This record gives sequence, structure tokens and C-alpha cells, in this order.
Amino acid sequence: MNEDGAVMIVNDEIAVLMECRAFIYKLFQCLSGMEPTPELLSALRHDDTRVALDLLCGDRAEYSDIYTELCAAAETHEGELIGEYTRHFIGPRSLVAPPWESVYRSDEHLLFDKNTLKVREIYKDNGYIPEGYPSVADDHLALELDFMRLLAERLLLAYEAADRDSVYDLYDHTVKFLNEHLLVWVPEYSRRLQGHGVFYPLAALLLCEVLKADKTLLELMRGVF
Amino acid sequence: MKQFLERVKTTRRGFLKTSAAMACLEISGCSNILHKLTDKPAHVQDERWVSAACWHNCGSRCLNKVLVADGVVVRQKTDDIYPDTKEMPQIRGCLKGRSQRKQVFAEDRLKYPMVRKNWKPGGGGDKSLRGRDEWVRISWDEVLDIIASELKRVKSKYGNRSIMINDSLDNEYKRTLAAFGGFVDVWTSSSYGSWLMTPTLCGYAPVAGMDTANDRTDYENCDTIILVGSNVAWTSFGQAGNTLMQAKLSGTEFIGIDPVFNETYAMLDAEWIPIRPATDIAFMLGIAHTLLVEDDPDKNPLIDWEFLKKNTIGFDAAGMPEGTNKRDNFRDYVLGTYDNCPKDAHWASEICGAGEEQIRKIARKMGVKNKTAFLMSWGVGRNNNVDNLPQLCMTLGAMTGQTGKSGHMTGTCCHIHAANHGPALVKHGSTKLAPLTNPITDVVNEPDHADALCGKPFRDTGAPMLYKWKPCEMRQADIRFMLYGKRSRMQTQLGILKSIDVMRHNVDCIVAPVQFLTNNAYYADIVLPVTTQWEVPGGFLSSSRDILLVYSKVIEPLYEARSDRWIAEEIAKRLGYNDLFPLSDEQMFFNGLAGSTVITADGSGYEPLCTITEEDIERWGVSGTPQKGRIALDELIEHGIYKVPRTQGDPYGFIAFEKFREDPEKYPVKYSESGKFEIYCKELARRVTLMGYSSIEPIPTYIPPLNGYEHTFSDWKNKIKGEYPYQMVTMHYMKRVHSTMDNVKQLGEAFHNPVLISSADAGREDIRTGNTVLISSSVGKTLRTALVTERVMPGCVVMYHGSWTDIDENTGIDYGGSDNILCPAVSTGQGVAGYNSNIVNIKKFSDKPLRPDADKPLRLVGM
Repeated sequence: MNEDGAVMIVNDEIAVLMECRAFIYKLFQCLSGMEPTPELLSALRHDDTRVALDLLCGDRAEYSDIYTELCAAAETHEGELIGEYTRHFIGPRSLVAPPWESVYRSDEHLLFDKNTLKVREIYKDNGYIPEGYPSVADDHLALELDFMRLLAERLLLAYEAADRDSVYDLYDHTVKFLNEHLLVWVPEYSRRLQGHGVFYPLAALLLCEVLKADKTLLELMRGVF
Repeated sequence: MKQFLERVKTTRRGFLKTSAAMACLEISGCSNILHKLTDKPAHVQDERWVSAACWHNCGSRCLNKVLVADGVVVRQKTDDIYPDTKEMPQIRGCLKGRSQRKQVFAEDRLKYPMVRKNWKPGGGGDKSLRGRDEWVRISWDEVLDIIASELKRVKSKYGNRSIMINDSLDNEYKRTLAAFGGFVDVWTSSSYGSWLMTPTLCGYAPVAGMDTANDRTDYENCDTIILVGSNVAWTSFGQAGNTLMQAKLSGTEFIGIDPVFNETYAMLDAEWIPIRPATDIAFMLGIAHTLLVEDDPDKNPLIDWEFLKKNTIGFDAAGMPEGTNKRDNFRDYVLGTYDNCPKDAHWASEICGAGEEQIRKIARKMGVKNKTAFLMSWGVGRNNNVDNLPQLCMTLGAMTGQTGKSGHMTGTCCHIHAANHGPALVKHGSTKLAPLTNPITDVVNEPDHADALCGKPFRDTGAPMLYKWKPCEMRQADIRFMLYGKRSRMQTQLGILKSIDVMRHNVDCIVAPVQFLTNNAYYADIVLPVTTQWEVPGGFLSSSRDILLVYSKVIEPLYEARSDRWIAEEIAKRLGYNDLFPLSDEQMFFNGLAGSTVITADGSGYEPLCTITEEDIERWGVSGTPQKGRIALDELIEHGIYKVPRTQGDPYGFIAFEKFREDPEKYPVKYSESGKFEIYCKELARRVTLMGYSSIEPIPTYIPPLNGYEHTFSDWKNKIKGEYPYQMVTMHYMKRVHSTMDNVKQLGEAFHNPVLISSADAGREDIRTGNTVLISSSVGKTLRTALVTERVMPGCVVMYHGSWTDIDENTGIDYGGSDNILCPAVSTGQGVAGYNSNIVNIKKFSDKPLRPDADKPLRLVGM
């Protein structure tokens, strides 16, 4: 990262990429945090969503096919998606891939463990708390993605304002959270989902693509701030 | 970076801000989000230790402490408040209690109210899909409205007798539905078996055989302790085992009579006398016969003739009550005077499998000159056709005088009374919530409940568990609404497959307020997430007579879980009853604390336990009066336990029947018409027979058990085995409490839940340890991995109780190792569910072990 004290030059292209990041995290936050509504599915299939994904994931070979397949599944199986969401995120049967980080981070496979507290502390350090606190586990996929969305939005604002300190700070938090949390468990979460449904396994695969692409993008950004 | 920037070239800045895609996301309004901390402050407390409930129905109940950090439990520990001494041992938790965190925070906790997708109000929709259907999340408001509306509908169309609750004796839903006009209730002989009603009529004890043996300080005064079917090391983990171990260390000899050489006998280095399941009465009659024929008052005194004469009726012709046939006495039955069948050791041995000399040896050990304890579990009463068993236990105590004196006892040894009898020395007060009576009188015995659900006649015999017995009246009901509570009766009771089948054809609406997807919930229409005892203001757990456990709230309710009380109250409001629960949970807890009492120093009475100040009352926000007690309220809450200080020879000891032995006229026993031990108990025979299942005699006699040893033969005379050649015992398992905690993986890793088979039988069946075996009965099939052992009597297989079903819908085979899949839903005598009198076959299914339970996904069937 450029730390020579020079005034930050705001680059339009980078701002667009930041905007895409915030949007895509919001999209996945909604996909993993609520029953699929017609509006949510239409956001998923929207041309602008494809554009945003292309901008972020263009270097990755498989994302496009996964996205196309995901959109097709959303259309073909629209009537089944609430049921599939319920099976994967709500219950009452045990979830094949519980969407909480703590389940993947320790042998205990519990909710509300020390890892949950760590995630909560990170949120708090950044000024956030889950809407359902303290009754919901903080490290739910949707909440972690919402955290990434919030950081992405703030990063964009700081960048647009050429607020160098905030940009550095937000960038650090973003990279750290992505590498130390989402990228640690979401691939295994996705692996466990495969073969169990028509939509959410694809959504998880696409999310993995997005997270990996974002990691690359963030690493590259380091040199241009 | 270049490639990223290249791609962006044609895209304008801010394109997403105005995109319809963004608008769609905004409209979606997902609430699974983060808020600014300033809008929703977190109330962080420092890490603190809280006394946390270990609330399950095991035979112990120990002190559980949890370290809570910002609403998350990061550690657990147990009793370390006072030093561990012989007289006041620490009440330490077992592996289950110490795994409590893994249950409360399990990933498969039910989190939201849910309705079966194809269930429909007004009739139930497609009932055949129960257990196979998809589920739909629903809000509390909606689901409570639906439940209230269904209740109103079935009441107006079919009356209150169309509503059934199948759960524990007392729960909040019963209060709501009692106010609503009532409901059909369900009772069960449960863990007690024939220890339920028999002791309460023959003069022995209240329900469950409490107070038939001595206080824990007296066990080391016994020279010999004989345990029958008792595995307190597992079933009453902790203090009971410690008490027996102390006796062992002081020189007491132990003998275990059981189909299984269990962990307790191993711990105590007990001599094992293998005995077939459900044949204890024959064994004990063999003891009685030996006593009679070997007793010589001068040269070989074995019998306490004075006690028999003074304290009992019906032992011999001279002791028979007025108006009875003198020939019907116990002594002549045992000697075979009139039926030409002496119940001697030879006769007993053929039935029970113990050696003749072993039977005689036990008789001699019990002789009047010895200091012996003869202690039975309820498990031996959980057999069909053993209604006289507790009476026979009492009779042996009376014959040998092993009762009413220090170092002498004949009674029960299980659950919280294991190796510790006597009235509670410390007890909690009442909530002061006035009870409501159910206006509907129908009570169904659990094994009959599946029949009742499909409209077949059922025996209404009152509720013997609550001392509310009545002669059998055949009734029928058209059950349209069923509420199953947390007790998971469809797992822990007989005839699981029958229940599932009935549920797939009957009842319009089945509601299950639960914490996990137990069988009751799995096959229900509506499931409601209920809080654990870690999520309520607090409460009490009674255990050993000298301790009281007080637990506090650990965490806020998880997800949308609500307490049973809240749910019942909300349903009540929707039914038009707004004041059904006038006291807050905090007030009820406080009332219980304020009303707690402890034995006075001299043992003559009780005094208040807690000191409560004005400040306490104000801080709690409750109404109450300051009082002076033994311990400050805050200190009791912090400790989570109160222990009555005990020393050897203190005034709190208890010797069962001590006064009765001294002067039966002045101190008659409470539980018989005559005030004496009724070895001939007309009322017992009358009541049991009038319940309509099967009849018994007023004296203890051997009745071949339904599905007992004799039924393993197709030709008893020539000893040719039949289709189900093995007897099955169902032992309580250290992995779980009944069925509770079976979904805790770590416990499954520690305890693999095999089926136990003797090496003799395994050799014949070509079964080796590690093979998968199919255990089958007339009503079900289940799979387990075999463990071949010398610890099981040949002819028996041991299934561990409570494993959750995992039924393959195509084959009907249960992969979960569920014991009650194999038990038919039948009762005998006083409506006893015979969990330990069943016959099965066992065959090799595969050379390979079954997939371990701990490696299986949690309840996924039907995905």
C-alpha cells in the first residue's frame, strides 16, 4: 500500500469495483439471510448483477457457468426455493451444512462458542451488533456477509472522500475478516451443501468464487491506494 | 489490477446505485443483518460463573456451573464449593451434565415455530406425510392463532374429549386446556413398573418404593449388600456410587443379581449371580422356600418369626385376615402345600437360570442373624406380570428381619433414592400458583394411547401415579387435537412403529413444543421452539435428601425459543383466558426460594432456608416479606446448592420402618388398610384385577411374564427354542438420559451404543464384535453393532435405552438402535409397560460395523 503520505487519487474504475463488492455482498447476504422472494430472485437475475459479477470474477474460469446455472435454477425451480431455503437455513431437521462459522471452527460443532464471541468482538470493534443480539449467533453466514457489505460500503465512501486513514483502516479490517473468517469456512460449508438441492449448492459455489475473486482484488488494491 | 480495471472501463460509476437490482434487494428487506451499535447497545457483563440447571430425568442431578461471557458459555465446571469429604461429598456432574453446553447450543436446536407444509387447518390435510413432509417457517402470532383456532374448532365440533395431552404429570399446557374445559390425559407406569402402585397398597411405601431403605450414612453398617438389577454407577451417577463405595471400603461384601454384570458390580467387585430377565419373582420365591426349609429357630435361625407375627398379615394360615381362606397364605404357596409345587431352589433355578446353590446362598446371607441389605431397582419392576414383586421384596425383608434396623434393609435402590432414603432434609417451597383441575376425567395408559388415537376403546383406570385409581371403564374418544410435550414419549414408550402408523392416519392437529426434533415433533404438524432451563429465570432440582439445587438463568432465549409457560399463556389469551398465569416467572421462583425449608439443627422440624431482605425483594421486583434463614439469598443463588451438614450419627439419619418394627400398633404403616405389611393384600389383587389387563393373587406368586423366558420356546417341555429365542433387557445408558442428549455427538463418540450379546450365543449365531446385527421382534427391527461379551447371561441380549429412531421408510428397519421399536405396546397387571420383558431374535446383518451414530448427520431423514 502506498504510505508515502501523498494525497489519495480517487480512481473511477476502483470506485466501480468497490461498488460492485458492496452490491454483491448485499446480494449474498440476502440470499443466505431470508427466504427467496420474487424481488430477490429478480435482483439475482438482473443484468446489472451479471455485470457486477463479471467485473469482480472475470478472471475466474467457472463463475459464469455457475451463475448462469444458478439463474436458470431460480427460474425453473422458483416454487421449490422457499422449501430448499427452509431445509438449508431454518430446520426443523438438522441442516446438512449449518450456516454458522463456529460449526466449522471447532470439533464441538456448536453455536455460540468462543469463535462466535470473536466474531462479535470484531463487529463491535467496527460499531455493529446483530439485529437479533443476543438470541442469534453472530457468525451466521448472512451476518458475516452483511459485515463485509457494510465494510465495503464504508470503504467506497472513504475512498470517494479520499479519506486515506479510513480507507487503510477499512481495508485492513476487510482483508482480515475475509481471510480469517469467511474464506476459512465457506468452502467447507459449500462442499457439504453439494448434492443437496438445486439452488443453494450453486449459490454456495458462486459465493466461493466471489470470495476468492475478492481476495485477489483486495490484494491487488493494496498497490493502488 | 490491470485486468480488473480493463473490465470496468465501460461501466459508469454509481451504476448499481440506480439499478433495479439494488432496488429489488432494498425491497426484500432482509432482517438477518447488523445494526449500528449505537442504535442497539450490547449489555456486556464481565465473565461470571452461573449455577446452571442439569434438569434431565436421570437419577442424580448434580451441580453444574458455567462461565458466561457476553451471553456465551465458554466453560463448565462442577461442585467445587466445599472440600470433598466422606460425610459431605461434592455433587459432581457426569459426562452428560458436563456436556450440557453441547445440548443447549447444539446446531440442531429448534429455532423457529414451523408448520408442516401439507397440513391444513380443519382436518389436517394429508396426514400420511407426517414425518416425510416439508416444513414452513411461521411467526409466533400466526402459529398461536392457528393453535387457538384449531382448539376452538375441535371443541365446538367434537367436545373437549377430542383434545389429548401426552406429556409429564404437570405442565403449563394442561393448565390452559383445563381452563378451556379439559382434555384427555395420559398416564404411564413409566420408570416405576410395578413399583408404581403395589407398594402403596401392601403397606410398603409411596409410589416408587421411597423410604423402604435407610439413609446413606447406614450402608457401611451392612455386612452384605445384595443389588438386584441395580446399576447406580450409571443411573444415579455420583453420590449413590460413592455411598456404596464407602461401604465397600469399610468391608461390606457386594453381590449383584442381574442378567448383566454391570458397571456398578464391576466398581464394587461384586459377586455376580446371573439371572434371566423378568424371573426375579421365581428367584425370590426360591429364597423364601430355602428360608422356610432351612430355618431352625435354635440351630439355624434364618427367619424373624416375631416380626412376621407382629408386623405382617397373610404370611401363614395363622396370620391370614378374617374372612379369607386360610389355605391362601404365602407360606403354603411357597411350600406347595396345596398345589404340589414347592417353589424351591430347584423350581426357581429352572425358570431364573441362577444356580440352586446360589439361590440358597442368598437365602442364608439374608438370614436374620446377618446384617444384609437386599436392594432392587425399579428396572426389575418394569416387566409384565411382576405386580407382586415389590410385595415379595417386602415379604423377604419381613421374613428375614432385614428391615427396620441399622445395617438391615430391604427396599429400592435407584434414581434419587439410590443408597439414600428418608424424607428430604432440605426442600424448596411452592410457586404459590394455585392448581387447576382438569374437568375431563378420561386418562389413557400410555401403551394404549395409540389405540385411543384411532378411536379404539381404551381402559380408563384413573391415574394410579397420582393415587387416583378407579376400576377399569372401557371408553372411546375421538381425538382430533394432540399436544406432545418435551418428554419425547414416542421415543421412550413402547410400540414406536404403531404410534407412527396411527399418527399417519388419525388426529387433525398434532402440536409439539420441543427443543429438538424428537419423534413427537418429527411426526407432528406444528413444532414450537421451547427454551431450555438455561433460558428461564431459575428453578430447583431435588436430588439426594440432603441437598437442594438452585439454578439461575444463564442466557437469553435462543432464536425464537419461548418458555412453555409463555406459549401456554399466549394460547390461553387467544382462548379468552387472560389471567391464567397471574404470577411472573420471577415471582414464582422467588416464592419457591422464600418457602424453602431446611431441617433444624436438632432434627425436630424445619426452618426457613433463605435469609431475604427488603433490598432483595426490591432488587428482584417481586412481592414478599423479609425473613431470616440459614443462608443469604444471594449466597444460595451463587452457590447453586445447599447441603445439609452431615456427620455420622447426626440426628438426620433414617432407618426405614424403625418405629413400625418396634410398635406396629402405635406406628402402623401408612400404605395398607391394616396398617401392617400385607403379605396377603386383598386390595392389591382387587385393584390390579379390576384394571382389566390381567389378574393377580393377593399373595406374591410367580406368573410367567408376557413375552418372558417361557415364550422364547416353541416347546417349553422339550426346551425347543421358538422364533424369538432371546430375552431382551433395556438398560439405561451413560450416553444419554432416557432419549435426551442422544444428539450430542461427543457423548456418542464416548459411548458407541452397541448391542450386547453373550459369547456363547454369539458363537452359535456366528456373530463377532464389530458385526452389524439385526435385532427383530414381533413388532420391529433395528440394527446395531454387536459387542460380544462375557458380561451378559446367555439367552439375553442387552439394548441400551433411548436411542433415537432412524427408520428406513422402504424397509421399515430402524438404523438407530431404538429399544422401543422392538417392544410391543402391551400392558399387564396394573397397566405396567414391560420394557424388560420382551423376546427377540438376533442375526448377523453384515460383517462390517454399522456406521457409528456419532458419524451420522443429525436428524436428516427425509431430506
